Amino acid sequence: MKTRIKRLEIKNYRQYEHLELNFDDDKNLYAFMARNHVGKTNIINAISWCLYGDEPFKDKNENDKLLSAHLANNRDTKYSKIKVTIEAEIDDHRILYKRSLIETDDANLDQNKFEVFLFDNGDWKESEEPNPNYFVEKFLPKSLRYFFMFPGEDLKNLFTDGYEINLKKNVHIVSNVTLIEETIKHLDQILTETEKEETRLHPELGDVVGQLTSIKTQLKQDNDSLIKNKEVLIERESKIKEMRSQQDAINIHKELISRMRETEARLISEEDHLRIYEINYKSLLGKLAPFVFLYKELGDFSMNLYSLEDTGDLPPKVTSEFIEDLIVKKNKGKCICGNIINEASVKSLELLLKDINSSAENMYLYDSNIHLARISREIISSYGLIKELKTHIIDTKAKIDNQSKLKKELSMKISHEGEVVGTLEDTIRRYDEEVDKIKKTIWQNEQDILSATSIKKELEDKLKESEMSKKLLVFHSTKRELLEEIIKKYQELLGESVKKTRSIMSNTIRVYFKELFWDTVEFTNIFLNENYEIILEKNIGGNIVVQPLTQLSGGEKICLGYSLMKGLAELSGFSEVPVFIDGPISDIDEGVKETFLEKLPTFMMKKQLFIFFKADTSIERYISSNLNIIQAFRLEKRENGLTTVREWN
Amino acid sequence: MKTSGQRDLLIDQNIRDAFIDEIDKIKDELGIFSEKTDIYLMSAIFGFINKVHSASKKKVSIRQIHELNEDQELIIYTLGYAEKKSVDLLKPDPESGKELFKLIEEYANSGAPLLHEMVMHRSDNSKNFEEIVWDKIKEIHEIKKT
Repeated sequence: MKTRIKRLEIKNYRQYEHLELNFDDDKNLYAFMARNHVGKTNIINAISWCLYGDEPFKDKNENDKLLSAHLANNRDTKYSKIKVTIEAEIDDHRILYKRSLIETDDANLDQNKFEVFLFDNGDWKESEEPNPNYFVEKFLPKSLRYFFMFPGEDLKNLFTDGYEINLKKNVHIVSNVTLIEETIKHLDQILTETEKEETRLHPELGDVVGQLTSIKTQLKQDNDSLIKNKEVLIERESKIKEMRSQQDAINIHKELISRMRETEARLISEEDHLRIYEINYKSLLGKLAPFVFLYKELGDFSMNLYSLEDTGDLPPKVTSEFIEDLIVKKNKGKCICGNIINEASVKSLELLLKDINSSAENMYLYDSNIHLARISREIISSYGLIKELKTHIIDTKAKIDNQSKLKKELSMKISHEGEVVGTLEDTIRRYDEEVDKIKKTIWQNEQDILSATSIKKELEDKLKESEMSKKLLVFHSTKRELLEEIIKKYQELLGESVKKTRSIMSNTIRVYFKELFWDTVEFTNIFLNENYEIILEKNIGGNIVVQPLTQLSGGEKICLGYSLMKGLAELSGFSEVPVFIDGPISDIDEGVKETFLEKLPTFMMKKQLFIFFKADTSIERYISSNLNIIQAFRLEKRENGLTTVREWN
Repeated sequence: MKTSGQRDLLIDQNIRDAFIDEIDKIKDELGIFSEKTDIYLMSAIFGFINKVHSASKKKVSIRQIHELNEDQELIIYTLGYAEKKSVDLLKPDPESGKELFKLIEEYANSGAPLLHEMVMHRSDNSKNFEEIVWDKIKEIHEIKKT
C-alpha cells in the first residue's frame, strides 16, 4: 500500500499558530532543522495527535494544554480551535484527516472532533464510514506507529539487557507472527475445551443407554404387574359384588325363611283352630245329625208326649229342680199347695221323689219329653253356633290356604341353605381382605410407575441430550481432529513465518547495517538467532568471533537500531508508510554521520522520510547540497514563543 | 234304658264287618260319630228314612243297651214311636223292648250300607254327610223363623 502525506496544516497547536506544509511529490526526503526546543518533535506530535489523538513524544515539561500560552493569554484567541489537518494519498485515494479541538478551562468540556474526508469528483466529502479510525488504520495502525515514528536518540537504548525479548515481540507484531501465535493460542484453547467435552461426553452415553434400558424393563414389569393386579381387583370386586348380591338374596331368603316359619307357626295355629272348629263343628253336627234327620219324628213324638201329659197319662216328675224351687221358696214360708215349707217337709219330699221315680212306668217318657224339648232347643240354638263354626272353618281354611300358598311361595323363593350364607360371608370377608391388599399393591405399583416414568423421562431427556451428545461427540471429535490439523498447519506456518521473519529481519539488518556502517573487514555477518538475539560476527585474526552488542559504540548501536527499524518496517507490510525520525544522527560520530547522510536518500526507498535534525553545520551543508532530493524546512522560534517554519530554498 | 228284653244292640255280623266297622275305622277322621253305637243308630235312621228292614243272619252285639246315653235312648224311642206312631212300643216291658230293638236292628242292617255309601264313597260333586246335616239344620232354622 503506497502511502504519502501531501499536505500538513497545523493551527493553534502548541507553538504553531498556523503552519501549512505542502510536500513535494517528486521527493521522498523531508528535512526539518532547528535548534533544541523550537518544536521539531511537536510536528511529529501534531501528526500523531491528528491521527491518534495523543502526543507520544510530548516533553514532560510541556503543558497538557495544546493551546500555547501565547494564544491562551490572548482573549481573542483563547478559545480558538486547535486544528491539525493531514492530507494523504493512499493508493491513489486522497484522504483528509482533520482533528480539531476547542479547549476550555474545564477539560471535560473540551470539544474534540475527528473527521475524515474523501476526495471525490473534485470535492472533499466527509466520509460516511461510521468509524473514521478505519482510515487511520489504513494509513498506519496505531500499534505499528512506533516503528515509523521514533526518536533517533532512543535507538541506541534498544539493545539493553533483555532487548531480544522486545525485539522478538516487535518482530512478531509487525510480521503478524503474533497474530498467528494468538490464533494458535486461541485454537489451543478451543482444542482443550473440545477435548474436555469429548472426554465428558464419552462415558455419559454408555451410562444413560444402560440405565434407560434398565428402567424401561422395570417400567414394563411394573405396568404388567399393575395391569394384572387391576384385573384381579376387578375380578375380586365383581365376585364380591356378586356374592354380596347373593348374600342380599340369601338374607332376603333368610328373612323369607323366617317369614315362612312365622307363616308355618300361623298355619299350625290356624290348623289347630281349624281342627278345633272342625271337631266342634263335626261333633255338634254329629250330635245333632240323628235328630236332624228325625226332626219331624221328634216333633211328632214330642206332640204325642204333650198330649199324654195333657191327658194325665204322663205324670209330672218331681225333680230335684222342683225340690230346689221349694227350698228356695222355703224362705218365703209357703208351698204352692199352701203348706208351710220347712226342713222336715223338704226331707219327706226327697224320700217321696225316690219312690216315685223308682216306680213310675212312664217316667222314661217324661224324661224323653224333657230331653226332646232340650234336643229341639239345642237344634235351634245350635244353628248360630254351627253357622259361626262353619264361618270360622271357612275363614280358617281360607287363612290356611293363604298361609299354605305363602309357605309354598316362600319355600320356592328360598334357594340356598344357611350354611351357604355362612360360607359366602367368610368368602366375602376373605375377598375383602384380599381386595384391600390388592388395592395397596396397586397403589404401590402406581407409585413405582410414577417414579420409574419420571426417571425414564429424565433418562430419555438425557438420552436425547445423549443423542445430541453423540452428535456432539462426533462433532467435537471431528472438530478436535480439524483443530489439531489446523493448529498443526498454523504451527508449521508459525515456524515458517518465524523462520522467514527472522530471515527477513536478519537480511534487512544485515543489508542496512552493512550499508550504514559496516566495516566489511571487521563484521562478517549479522543475523538474528532463534532467540532473536542479534549476533554480530567479526573476523578477528582469521577467527569468527561474536561481537557482544554491549561492546558496540553508540553510533554503531544507532545504526543497528535504524537497520532494525527498517527491517521492522519492511516486515509490517506498511513498508511504504512515511517514517518520522526525530534527531536521527545525534550522538553518532562524524564518520557514521557522513555515511548515514550519504545513505539517507536510499535508506528508506519508496517511502517518505521526515527527518527532524538538530541544527548542525554538517547537516546544514548536506541539506543545502541535496535540495534537489530533499525538501527542507527551517524552524525558528519567535519572541512570543511561537515557531515559524520556512521552506529551505 | 227302661225298656229291656235284651242286653245288647244287635246287628248282622256281615253288615257290621262290612259297613259299621269300616265307618268306625274312620270315625275319628270323620269326626261325626263319637262311637260305633252312633254309627249304628245313624244306620238305623237311614234304614228308617228309606223304610227298609233287613233281618240279620248272624247277630252280633254293637253295645249293651244299659250303656246307652240319653241321646241314644231318645233316638231309639223316636224311631220306635215313628214306626208305630204310638208310645206302645216304648213300654218298659220285655216284649216291647224286643220288638223295638229288633226294629232298630233291621233298620240298621238296611241303613248301614246307605250310610257307608254316603260317608265313604261320596263324590266331589255331591254334598258330604256334614253338608247334608247342615242343610237340614238350616232348613229347620228357616222353618222355625217363619
